[in-house]
Amino acid sequence: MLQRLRQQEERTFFSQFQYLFAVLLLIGAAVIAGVLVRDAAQLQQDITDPITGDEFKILGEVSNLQRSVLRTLVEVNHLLREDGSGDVQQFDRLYAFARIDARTLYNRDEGYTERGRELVDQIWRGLDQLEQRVDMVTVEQPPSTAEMRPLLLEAEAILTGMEQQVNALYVEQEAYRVLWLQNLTATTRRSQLLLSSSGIGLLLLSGTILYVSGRSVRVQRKANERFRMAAAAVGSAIHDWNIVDDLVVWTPGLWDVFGYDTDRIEPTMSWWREQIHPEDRSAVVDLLDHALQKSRIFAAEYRMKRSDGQYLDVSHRGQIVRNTAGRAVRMVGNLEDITEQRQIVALQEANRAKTRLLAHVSHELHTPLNAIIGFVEILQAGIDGPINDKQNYYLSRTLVNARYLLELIDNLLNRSRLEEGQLMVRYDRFALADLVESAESAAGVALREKDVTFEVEVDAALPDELVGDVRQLRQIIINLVSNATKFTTAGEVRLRLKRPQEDKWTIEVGDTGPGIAQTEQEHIFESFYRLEEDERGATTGFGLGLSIVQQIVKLMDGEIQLQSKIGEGSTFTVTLPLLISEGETI
Amino acid sequence: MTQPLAYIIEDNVDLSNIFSEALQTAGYETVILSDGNDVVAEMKKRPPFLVLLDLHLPNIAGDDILDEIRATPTLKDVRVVVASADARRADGVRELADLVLNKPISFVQLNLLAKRLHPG
Repeated sequence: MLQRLRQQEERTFFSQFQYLFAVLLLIGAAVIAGVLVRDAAQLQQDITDPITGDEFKILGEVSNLQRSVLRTLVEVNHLLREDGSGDVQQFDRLYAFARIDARTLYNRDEGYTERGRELVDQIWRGLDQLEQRVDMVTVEQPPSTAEMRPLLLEAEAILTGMEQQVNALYVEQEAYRVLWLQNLTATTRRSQLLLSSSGIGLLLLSGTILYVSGRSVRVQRKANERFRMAAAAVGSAIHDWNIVDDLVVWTPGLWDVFGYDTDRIEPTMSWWREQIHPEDRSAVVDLLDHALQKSRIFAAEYRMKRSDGQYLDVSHRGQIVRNTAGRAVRMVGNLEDITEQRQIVALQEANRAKTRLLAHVSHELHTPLNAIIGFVEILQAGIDGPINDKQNYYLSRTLVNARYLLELIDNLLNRSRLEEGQLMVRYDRFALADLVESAESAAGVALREKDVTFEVEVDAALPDELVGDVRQLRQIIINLVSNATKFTTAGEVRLRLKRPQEDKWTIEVGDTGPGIAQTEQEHIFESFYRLEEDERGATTGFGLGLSIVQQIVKLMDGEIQLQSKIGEGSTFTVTLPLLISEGETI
Repeated sequence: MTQPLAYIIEDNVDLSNIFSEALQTAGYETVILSDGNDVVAEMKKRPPFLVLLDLHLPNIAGDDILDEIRATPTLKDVRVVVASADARRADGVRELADLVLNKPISFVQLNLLAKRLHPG
């Protein structure tokens, strides 16, 4: 369009020149020379000062790209809200793309107008806000539709605001362009008036025009170069496909991601088709054909060959531009390497399978172990005849080991349930005495061979009956007591149930063991963490007990604290909300 | 005095023997059924005082047996103790069962419970 206007100016000048030929030759020439030099300088000033031509070109390109991405974001946002499936990952990916794009825009700070800068700042702030919203959505696990809806609505409002800002940026460039053309026209008109019959004038004016258009070509070349530089920072490979001529311009991201030199590949879509995995090719090509005919957006995930022959999983999204007749003339798209993301998903799946297997195995181990424990208990009860002390001792040891095995299995089972998010707290009434009894039997068995006493103290302020998950509470006590007895060789292990506040109760397990160093206390609740002593084989276990206790306590809205000093023993205190049922007793 | 009758419906032979021993020691006469089929028909012939019911059985779900017991007028007074390793499934039968015990059930625990429930 610029070119066309300029040609028009030229034609007008030449026609008028013919009518006014033969008037005022030399005087005119002198005046013209002065005016032209001044005007040319003014023109140049105009071009460089508020915004330069190449600036305009780049801003136009980038804001085009930006707008297409934003439109996509808004669209995805709509989709998310409509089907409620919450494909947040897709949203994140597009959002990340838009963000990098804006950063590129921002970093290219040479010669921006104040206003342009301000607008970019606004986009930047908008994206930050958007990030916070998206973070809020993804941090919630799992994000329910109801929770997501207001956040997404807000995100959409931000995006719409951003689009308006980018539009404003675009309009400003447009306005400048008009101004620029008006300047050119005004200069030419003034020149015409003064130079009407001057051959020198014609020469000089032609020179000015040549200078201007020559500059315009240089600007164009520089703009292309700068566009490529700008896009390189984006990281993924972006292409601009001129569909009519089947010409593709790739950003250097093609080299970064796929290892192809953009100067050496054939710049057509046929080249791209050849790099698609043969198994995916026809489906992707069909998708593209379909999109070109009917849609504004092309989206596909497929495998694409890297220059070393290896295939990468890519996500490809393109924005299709149509002419007034509705024919697709251009597609700007983004090819992103999602191989790593895919691998992460695969790993997560494998991990879930492992967790399920663990749960299954633990469950299967339970039954035979319970049979062993049951038969030993029958023998110990002397139902089928008396047993002597030595036999009784052996049976006790069998029980200790079987129960220990059961505890390990239970911890593994609980851990896998925790990992799967399947461990739930069930609230039921239970008798405090039952809980204490099971703790005593667990401790009694574990301490039988040691010079350690086990003491229980129950606060009289505690009701006989509480509401809670007795199974998990038992697990908490057994794990804490088992942990305490493991490290205590002499002295005592204490279990205290207290009611420090009206609505709180505590389970306190203390010992006269070696104590835990401050540096170790930070790690003691981590899964599979074992004290340094353990590494030398002093004790046994998986290092799961305390981590499970902590997680169960968290599920029960409680907290756990550790007080310990080397040489002074350790005390673990679990504080839980006190719940009482008003109904009949068990 | 005749001993109260207890049915033990459990497919694991070891566990059913342990449960049987615990109940016998507590003064019950026990019948072990390792297959869920025809359990209720069997019970109708000789209504028990107590049923120890495992939820995970071959051929039929323990939940269905419980429903059937509760739907049979002649068995309405039967005390049903459900044993389950699956706490979530146990939650589903809490309404109909007299007592739900989470596996593992120890010999000592069942023995004490059976003594407490004993009508004699």
